Amino acid sequence: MRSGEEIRKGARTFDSSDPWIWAVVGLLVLCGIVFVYSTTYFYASFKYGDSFRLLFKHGISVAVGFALLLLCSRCGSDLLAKAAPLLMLVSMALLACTMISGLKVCANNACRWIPLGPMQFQPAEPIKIAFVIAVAAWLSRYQDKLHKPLYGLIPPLALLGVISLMLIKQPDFGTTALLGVLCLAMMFLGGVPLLQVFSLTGLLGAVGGMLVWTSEYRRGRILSWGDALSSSKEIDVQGAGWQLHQAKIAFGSGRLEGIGLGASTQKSGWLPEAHTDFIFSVVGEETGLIGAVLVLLLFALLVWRGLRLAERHHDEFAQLVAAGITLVVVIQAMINMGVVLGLLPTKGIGLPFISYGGSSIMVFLAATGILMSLSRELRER
Amino acid sequence: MSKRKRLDGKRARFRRRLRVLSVFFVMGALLIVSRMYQLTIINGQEYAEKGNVQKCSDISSEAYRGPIVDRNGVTLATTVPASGVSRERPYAYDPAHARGLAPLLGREPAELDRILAKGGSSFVWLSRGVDVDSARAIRRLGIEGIGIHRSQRRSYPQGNVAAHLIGFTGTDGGLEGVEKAFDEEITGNPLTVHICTDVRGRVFLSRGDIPGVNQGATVHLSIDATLQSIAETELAKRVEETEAIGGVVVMLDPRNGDVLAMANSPSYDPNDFRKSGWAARRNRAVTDLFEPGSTMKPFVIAAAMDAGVISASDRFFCENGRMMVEGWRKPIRDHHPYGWLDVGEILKVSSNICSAKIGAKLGATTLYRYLKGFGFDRKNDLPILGEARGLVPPASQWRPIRLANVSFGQGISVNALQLASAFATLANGGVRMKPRVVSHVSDQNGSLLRFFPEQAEQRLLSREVAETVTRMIEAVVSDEGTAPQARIDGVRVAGKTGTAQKAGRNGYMPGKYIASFAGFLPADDPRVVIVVIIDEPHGSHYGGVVAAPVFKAVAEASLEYLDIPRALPQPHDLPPELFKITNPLPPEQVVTADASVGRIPDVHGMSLRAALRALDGCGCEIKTEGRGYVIAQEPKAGTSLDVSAEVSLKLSRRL
Repeated sequence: MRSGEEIRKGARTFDSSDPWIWAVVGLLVLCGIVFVYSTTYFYASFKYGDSFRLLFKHGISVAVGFALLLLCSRCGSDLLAKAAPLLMLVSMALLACTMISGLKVCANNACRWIPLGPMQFQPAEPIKIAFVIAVAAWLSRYQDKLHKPLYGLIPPLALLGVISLMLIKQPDFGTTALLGVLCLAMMFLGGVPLLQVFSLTGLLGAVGGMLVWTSEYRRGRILSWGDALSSSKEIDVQGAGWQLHQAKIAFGSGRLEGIGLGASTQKSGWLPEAHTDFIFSVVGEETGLIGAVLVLLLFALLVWRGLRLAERHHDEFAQLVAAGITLVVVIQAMINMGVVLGLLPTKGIGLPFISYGGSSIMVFLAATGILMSLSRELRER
Repeated sequence: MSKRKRLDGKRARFRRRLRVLSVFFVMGALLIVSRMYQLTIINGQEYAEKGNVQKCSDISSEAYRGPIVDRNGVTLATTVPASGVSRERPYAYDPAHARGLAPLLGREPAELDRILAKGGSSFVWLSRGVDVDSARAIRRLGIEGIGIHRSQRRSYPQGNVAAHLIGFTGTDGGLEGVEKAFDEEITGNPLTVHICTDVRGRVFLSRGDIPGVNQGATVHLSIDATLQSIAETELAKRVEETEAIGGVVVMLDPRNGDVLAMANSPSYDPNDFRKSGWAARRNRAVTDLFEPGSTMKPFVIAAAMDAGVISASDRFFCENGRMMVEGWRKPIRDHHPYGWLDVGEILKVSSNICSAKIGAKLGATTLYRYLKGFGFDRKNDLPILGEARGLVPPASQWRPIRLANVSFGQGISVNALQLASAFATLANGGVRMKPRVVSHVSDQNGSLLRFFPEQAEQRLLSREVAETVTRMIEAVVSDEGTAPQARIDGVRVAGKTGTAQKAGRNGYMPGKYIASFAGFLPADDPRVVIVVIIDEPHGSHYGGVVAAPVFKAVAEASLEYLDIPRALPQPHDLPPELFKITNPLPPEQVVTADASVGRIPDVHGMSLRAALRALDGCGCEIKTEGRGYVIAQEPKAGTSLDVSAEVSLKLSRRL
């Protein structure tokens, strides 16, 4: 008979990282597979004559993502810190490719992709993680000089500015906004003086507001969102409000228990992007309030373990990376849910681990790998 | 130490700021959860309804008209899917449209062009019964504003077989015959299906049966399609030969009152009823009245015997062919002068004078009661329309001349079915079975909806009287009788000829006769009653000459078909080749036209009945020629069904 201690040791030699993260991410990905199949079989069988087609592609992305996860879980924070500039440069180079007319791939008036073999890749996904690592590296390296704006405020802002310009060119305002919020939160956590953080908040808010107002389609989204929030007003369901209207019909139809897994009727073309950005509506429609809250709880668990890891890690860089990655997940999840529920204006942002989309699932699994490697560092110390 | 402290200070700040962020996240999460609660629990019902309204609707689809089948289940009327084509708003007129659509709709381009060009009304039917292939071709033309709707077309696969009984349908249901009488049941109930569609209108969910399965009730006739077609063929042939204006053959099973055939001439094709006139569509067997003439005599004599006023051995003096009746200036005449005759001889030679004497002996009141009992002057309550009641004035109005006339079948009017039913009463040993043309109505799953049971009426004649009269009228087909042409070798035939002048508005019309022969066989165990009426034959007008041959032909075919034993002459009486086995195939072998295969089966060597069964369900029109077994078929076996809408069979007694 082996003692409990021995069993735990044995497990540790396999992987000593936080089992909570394993479990929660595993469940989220599983949930994603179920709902990607549920939302795509109808569409795929009509379009390709093969209802498994998109599920299969999603499965490949998940498999590649888990391979990346295992790879990233082997790299320590030292390697990560050293690789930070390279990661940032590569990601930015990829992002720049979306501006080159021969390389970019466009859909729905947005050029956010570059070809990658038979599939397409969205550089906006890795840029989030690369940005987290780069900002963390900078803030931890110059933590003693952060009170000077030249160190604390200007460099992250400059990086954010360059990336944002490229993103807005695509255009991808959703990721830009996400990066803006992420940048503020990272600076806040990294010890940048509050005055600078607040002034930056005001600046970014002003720039963002201006960007929104100068673009016809973003303004339309904001306006239709405003209409949707005030339920008294009959919204324009034909125009910009259509998707939101359908999303609310889907989510609301689920009531408490949902109409049954796979039984969604809204996904049959009524709700555009049911398998990507609006997959959470179908979660609500098919599994009801209960299912939606369970998914929310899974994200909450992940946030809890991620922030706990950040709090306990001995290295400032690792702390900021762990917190940053957790922030990317939580901010993106909350923005996505907020959009689907009509709390926020429509943005092109998916639900981490769940939405269909190869780049997103691979990058989030790779980021989970980084979290695990940091977790192991903490536990093996 | 101070560095450590600073480090601790930093960690504490990090932890503090993490907490601050966490508070934001918790608030965000709470906001999200409360919004989810609002959408699902508070407003969920409303959203579910909104979704239902935009996606789902109740579609009501008409049922397919149910089939009409014969007693063996052979389809006489069926419904095939078709499409209605309409011009709807918004439609932009283009002269090219009429040219493209006309051949597919089977309409004149000019006429169609007029309809298409006419503005105003938003919805116009261009055709309500386009076959499915043409509809597909029209859809392929892709003309905006030309709508295609699910519809149905009535088809009568056996063409004019039993056309008068079945009737036909227009766009709004049955117009004549069984089609009209059972319209409500055959039409069935519309089926409401709850369907939901995707955003492009493709159906992905339907609750309820898929449309097309829903079908109205099936009406089961008592008619036998084979006997019906034999009767029609023989009747039509004879009507043509005698240049008559029309004719009727009614076949009845005396044991249960089932009408086995109800043939009328002239006839029409219910698939194309508009091409025929009212005269051709009339079911003369029940709508037309005629004076029965001598065919009435057996009933007068049976009544007198049953009432006990005469006995079979009584003899009557027939006044040598000429007798005056009280209160009437003209004498009653016989065709030949007769002296003393017994009752059987009176029937055999059909003496009017002696019949009148027997009628007088019986008395008007009693005779009238018996005539009612035989079914004259009564409707049979058949579930078909237009049945005539008959015309027998009440006995209180009978003066002596009326009584004399009625005794030999004049001064009263009956229809062919009534006459057949009266003979069936004799054949059934004195008990009248109520005639029926429909045995039952079932729904599409075969459950019984309505049932018309066999109905025996009160005994009218004693069995002895019925049998005695039957034996007497067997002599009618003897060489000395009036209808030796109705004699059939090897089977006992009982029958009576009738020859009546047609009555017009001003008395009898000179030269216009109705020739009839009514009888049944085998006389010792009657299985079928056959009544033949030929209206206004040219040349001879005697029932024994004009109508009896039809009786014989129909009877012989029926014997074969109904498998009634015949004592055929011994082999040494006849040349041997007549006794070869003529049917090498087992008679019951049935090859069914399989719709999924879509090929015409091989029906060579089959009896007409087996062939009709085999071709049942192919949806094609079947033309037959001759009798017996199939010796040739066109098109050949294996031909694709959709190529040929018509199958013609050549039949012969010998293969």
